[in-house]
Amino acid sequence: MKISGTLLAGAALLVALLSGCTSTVNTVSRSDNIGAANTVSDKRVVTDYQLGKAISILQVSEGVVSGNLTKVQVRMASNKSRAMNVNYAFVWYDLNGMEVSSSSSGWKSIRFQGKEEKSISSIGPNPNAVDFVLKLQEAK
Amino acid sequence: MKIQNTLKKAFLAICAGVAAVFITGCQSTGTGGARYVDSQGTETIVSLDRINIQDWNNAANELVASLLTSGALERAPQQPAILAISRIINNTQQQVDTDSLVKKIRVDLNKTGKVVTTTTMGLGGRAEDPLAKSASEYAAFMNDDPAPPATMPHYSLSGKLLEDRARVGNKRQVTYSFQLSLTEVATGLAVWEDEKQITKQGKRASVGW
Repeated sequence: MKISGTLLAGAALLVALLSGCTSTVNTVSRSDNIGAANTVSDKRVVTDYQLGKAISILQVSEGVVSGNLTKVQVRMASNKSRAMNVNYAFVWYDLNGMEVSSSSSGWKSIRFQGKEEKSISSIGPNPNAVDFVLKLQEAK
Repeated sequence: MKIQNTLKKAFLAICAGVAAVFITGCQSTGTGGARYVDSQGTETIVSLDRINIQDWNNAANELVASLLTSGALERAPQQPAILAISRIINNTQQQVDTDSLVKKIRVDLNKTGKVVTTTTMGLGGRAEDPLAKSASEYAAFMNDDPAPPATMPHYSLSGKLLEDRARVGNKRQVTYSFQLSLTEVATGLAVWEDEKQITKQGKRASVGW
């Protein structure tokens, strides 16, 4: 009798803890989107398998802004039920494969709520920047 | 007995290996000595009482992206558009040089080829580059020109830095708002405006993020 009481209390505590950690996002959107993204076929290199499982890359798309600057957008979704931070950085390359730097580029942080979808984007630093690499890293 | 001893040795070997990996992994940060870190990387310090280098970078990057996406610069009468820097008000508790934000924006816009910034025209008649201004005036005087050929800017950039603080128990939160407006000089109308907010929360500053 004493053991079952302890077990019940433990189970209740576990449920409380689990529900405290879980906060997922529900969404509602148009069933058929009007906008159509210009998707980019991508190549992925996964070195952190935990992060690879936690974050799904749903779509990589590109466009042109301000006349001749390439813009890319990456839509991602968290597969975790709890909130998590992910760091990311875009690196741009020109037609010759040379890296194109900018003074304000670098790593940024994005926070996902549980099961949340988010998009990140970047604009090429100059009209010659045509290729990109997105780096992702789980935050500390 | 023999199996037990073998298992014990294997366990000890694994423990030693794991400890070695941890010690080696922590060696670079554990000594506390100064070292170089990437200014644009994730090992920089996150403070709750000041705008950090990554905050300036992120704000500038987002605001430049917003300005370029808006298409406002394409509507300038000539390309590249000429930009003048107006007043950037600092309403934070921190004493900052607003060039930490503005210079990054200027550099990034300049690299796109969409904008050039005038350095001989500034707020209150003060030139950022007095030598260029006086050389221009001197050349005009020597050539007997009535006035130096001042290039009027198409746009003026102004803005404000704001700070909001909140606290619950020993957890602190600070939000820095970076507000910018691009005004068309000919009409006096703001053709682009945006705000980037950065919020940091915690009990104390941390190394890395």
